[in-house]
Order: sequence, then structure tokens, then C-alpha cells
Amino acid sequence: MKNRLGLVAVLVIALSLVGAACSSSSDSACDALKIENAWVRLPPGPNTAIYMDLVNSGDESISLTGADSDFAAKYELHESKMSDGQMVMEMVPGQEIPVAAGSTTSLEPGGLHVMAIDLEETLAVGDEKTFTLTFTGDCTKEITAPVEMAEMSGEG
Amino acid sequence: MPLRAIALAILVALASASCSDSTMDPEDRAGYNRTPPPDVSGTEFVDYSIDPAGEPFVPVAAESELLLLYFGYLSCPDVCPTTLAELSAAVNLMPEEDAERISVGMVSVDPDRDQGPAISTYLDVFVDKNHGLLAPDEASLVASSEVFGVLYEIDDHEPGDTSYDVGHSATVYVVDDRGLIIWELGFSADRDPQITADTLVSVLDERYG
Repeated sequence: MKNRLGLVAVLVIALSLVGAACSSSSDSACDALKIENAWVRLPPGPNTAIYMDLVNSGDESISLTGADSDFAAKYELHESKMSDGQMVMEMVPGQEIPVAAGSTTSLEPGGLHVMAIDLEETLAVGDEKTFTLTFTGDCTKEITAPVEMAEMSGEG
Repeated sequence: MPLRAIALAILVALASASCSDSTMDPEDRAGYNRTPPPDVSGTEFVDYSIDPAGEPFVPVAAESELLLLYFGYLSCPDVCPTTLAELSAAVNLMPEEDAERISVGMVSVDPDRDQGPAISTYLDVFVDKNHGLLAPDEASLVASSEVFGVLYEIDDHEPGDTSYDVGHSATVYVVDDRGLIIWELGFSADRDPQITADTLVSVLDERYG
């Protein structure tokens, strides 16, 4: 009897470990993702762009799928591209920006960006804005980033 | 020959002064020019940055100055503000006497959404000496963009729909006081504004001495 109880206990512990391992696999993809150098462009117009580096140090790929905040009505993932001499802005296919395992995807001026549409407040240089990024695997990250007129890093 | 010695001394002083001015070698400039330089003095826009607003504007720089003209739209979240922020930083990096000779104009190719005064307010964020411009009408915008060599494309949309995309040339046209495009800056997301500043100083020096 005592032995059987012990066996059940071992099984329960083993099962819970398996469960923990399963849920932690997507958590670890989320944990392995860091957002660096995020900034919000000073938008004199009704829309703006948010830029950042998505750094995935894990061994699984993960994709940015969207954003949310209380300072813009909606968000889309866009990419600016040169096409026949014009700069055109395209929706990112499937609204997913992938970050491969062990790699960094940069959202930067003239390329990939999170577009914040219909701003609900006037932003100013030096403001700190908080927004939530959503990723595949039920991963979300809350980010606070400064409002800048241009990228601050590098020689600028 | 004391007079000759004085003249020589003055010459040497002048030469060293102009050397220490260290204008950028034209080969190191950012951008390019077209030959012959397109003449845009026959085009006309409406200026919303002057008082009274809504006066006709012919894109010719004031005497011995440069007018930087850009075609864009206000809902543009990425490329237009990237370009204007670069011009803003460049003008701030120029020697004051040169910076005073630069003005920046933006023509909106999206008149359905962009009101004239809003274009002026938009530009105020970047540069003081600005011209917020619209074409007088659509036919005029088409004709003017052909003269400049601007391409733009407005996505189909219903009247009243405010969410549509616009494709556009992202070139900055540098116009002199004759209305000639003497230099052009192509779009760059990460050009060092110091290079842009040195380029503009070099263009000023070459054109006006």
C-alpha cells in the first residue's frame, strides 16, 4: 500500500514535470526574446512608426504579430521598400515578422516598422511611451520607449 | 618692394583662410545631379507657410540661397519624417551663415487628406524656414511632378476613406535662385547628417562662390 502510494506520487510528479516542460517550451522562446533600442518616431502627422531590434537568443523562431497601446487607434506591421523609383509602404505578409533562432531582426527607418495609426495624443521628443508587442506562442512584451526625431544611436 | 610684399602677404592669408574653410570635395558629396539641370521655374504651387497663407509659390530659391523641395504626404510614418529629420539635423550642423541660406519645402501629393495649414505645421517641427505646399489642382500636380521627375501613386480609395497608402519618389531636389535643380539627394535611412550638411555647403560654394 505504502509502495503503491509512492508510485502514484512519482507518477504525479513525473506528469507534472512533463507538463511543466511543455508549457515552458513556448515560455522559453518568449524569455529568449529581448527587445532592444526601441524608439517611437516623433510624428507631426496622424501616424507614426516604432522601431526596435528583436533579439532572439533562443533555439526556436518566434514572430512579431502586432502591437497595442492607448496612444494609437490601431497598429499594422509595415515595410517601406523601393519599387520602380518610388518608396512604397507594404503590409508585411500575414502580419508576422519572423525572428529566427539565434538571430536579430531590426525594425528601422526605411524598412520594417510597426506603424501606429491614428494617434490619439500629441507626442513630443523626450516622452516615454508604453506599448505591448504580441508574438507567436501567446508571448507578449510590454515596452517603454522614448519619442525621438531621429535615431539616437550611431553617429546621429 | 614693400607694396608687393604686402600684396603677397594678403594673398597668402586669403589662400590659407579659404583652405582652412575645408569645403567638401564634390566627389565626396551625397547625391547626384542631372545634366542639363531641370528647370522648375515654370511650375507653381500654393504656399501655406506664409502670411497670408495660400499665396502662389514658384519654386525658385531666394537670391544666393537654396530651396530643398520634397514630395510626400503627412500620413507617411516612416520615409517622409526620416528624410525631414535628416534635413533638420543637417541644417543645424551647417555654419550659421550657410544654414540661413537654406529653406525646405514639402509638396503634398495627397491633397484628399492633407490640408495646406497642416503641411506647414508639420514642417515647423523640422525646420523654421519652410514652405508647406500643395498644387493648385490635380492637373497641375501631375504636370509639375513630370518637370521634377517625381513619381507618385495614390492607392484607390472611397471618398472619405482616410486609410490608404501612397507611393512616392523620396528624393530631395536642391533648387537654386534660377529655378534649376542643381543637386539631388536620394533617400537614405542612415546617412550621416554631417555628410548632408557638408554636401549642401559644397553645393552653395560651387554655385555662388
